[in-house]
Amino acid sequence: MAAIVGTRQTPQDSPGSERLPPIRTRPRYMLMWHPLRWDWSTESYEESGVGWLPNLSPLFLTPGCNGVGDGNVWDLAAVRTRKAGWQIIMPDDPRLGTHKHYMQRLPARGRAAVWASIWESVSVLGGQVRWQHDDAGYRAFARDLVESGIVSPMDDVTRDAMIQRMRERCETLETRIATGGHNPSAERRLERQQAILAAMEGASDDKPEPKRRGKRVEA
Amino acid sequence: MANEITYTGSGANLRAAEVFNRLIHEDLVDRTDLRAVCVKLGDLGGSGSDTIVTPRVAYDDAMSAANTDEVTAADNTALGNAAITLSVAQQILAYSSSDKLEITGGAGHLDLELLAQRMVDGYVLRFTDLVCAAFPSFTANVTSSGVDMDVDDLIAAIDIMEQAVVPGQLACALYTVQWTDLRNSMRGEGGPAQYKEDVQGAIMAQQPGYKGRYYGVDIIATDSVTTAGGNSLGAMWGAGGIVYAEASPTGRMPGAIAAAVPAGSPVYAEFARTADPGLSQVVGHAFVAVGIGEDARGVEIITDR
Repeated sequence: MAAIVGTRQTPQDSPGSERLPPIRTRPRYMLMWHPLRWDWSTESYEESGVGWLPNLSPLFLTPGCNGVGDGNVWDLAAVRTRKAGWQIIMPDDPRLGTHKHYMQRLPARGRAAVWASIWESVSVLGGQVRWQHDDAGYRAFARDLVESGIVSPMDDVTRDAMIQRMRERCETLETRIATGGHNPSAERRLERQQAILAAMEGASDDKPEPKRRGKRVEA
Repeated sequence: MANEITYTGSGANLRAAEVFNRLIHEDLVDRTDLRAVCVKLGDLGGSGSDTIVTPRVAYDDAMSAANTDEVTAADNTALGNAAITLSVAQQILAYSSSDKLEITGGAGHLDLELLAQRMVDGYVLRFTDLVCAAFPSFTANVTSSGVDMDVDDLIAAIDIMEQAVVPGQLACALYTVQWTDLRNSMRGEGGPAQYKEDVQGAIMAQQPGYKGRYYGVDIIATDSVTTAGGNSLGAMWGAGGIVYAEASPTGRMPGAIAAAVPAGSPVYAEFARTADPGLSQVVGHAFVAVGIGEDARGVEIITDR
């Protein structure tokens, strides 16, 4: 005789559970990454010794946007995205470990679906909806993408180009400060960007020498 | 003195408890419409398909020297080509009200006719949401993660657009906070920019939506700009960076009571009745698709939310 199995009530089902007031929809998305997109994170460099993190983008599953069709059918969107060089971080990839299924649907009053990543949390205080973001958790996720092999390591040409871009930004600011007189705002920005540039260059210097391949000998 | 007729003493019998104003106050809503800065590729109404394919051709082939022997023919050059494919998806908005509310309503009260007229607002809000949801698909980006947007970010985005030889007027859609951060940065600008009238004008209070043309870029602030990783995902693009297609109805839907079907409009609304328990409904529809026209024509701007 087969047992009838019920579904245990979750905290979300309980009558007194908190729900978001009706707000604008926040669509579901999958994260994606392009080999040219990296971001420098000073915090993560302190934590893990890795300053460059993949700069992830959301692929919104919104019908009518970027090839997503009625009923959130995203085949065309996936083809288009991959053809453009992006890699979709599938939420059910087992290599994600504890980051697996990185989206959550939040209970909300009203018709609009409210989706957020697992690094986002929301509270209502005095009738105001307030969002918080777990920056450290998100950076750990981005770092783990590289370490787990889901995302390829940063290539030297891309890294050098991004360092060069930051160097140019610093030089432009230096010129403006030198020719435009005292400008505390620009000076603060220059100070911040110079610190980032120094860290970027330092990380490049610390990078282990690539293994030399044995010279191929022609027969 | 006694028996004076006062509001306090006799108001319950002689006066209404309160007057319901016929003026309807509208709560704040961001009606920013980005259609003017996107390119419409076509209207699929009556076309026989929900998908429009627009050819892309790259005429980027310079002539080269002919063969010096004067008799060897030149090989053909492969013409770069691709296509933009857009498939419209249905967007919908419905309101329903009971007969009791409708029958007891007076002139000027909120009713279904008024809601039917506002369906176009619902479409504009949705269109702007769709455009903003497309921004993260631009490969090029200016990222200052966790840092307020400043003039350097704007200039960096302009640099990327100019280095990519993007023609036409540049448009830039930013989250409302990105815009105010940018404006605060403009206040501290030195050098030639501080003498520009547009930069000086940026310190003035602005209406929602279009903020003006700064550094030669049309800047629009909207709360539809999405967020991920704790940042706002705005964008700058040139003509053809963001494209869209619509499907306008060519006639009344079978069995529907048309509420408003303006000629050539992608939005139409209709009424529906449910006799038991007595509900009237107005439903607005639109069919639209939005996407990246050409990746190189846009740049994402990622700064602190």
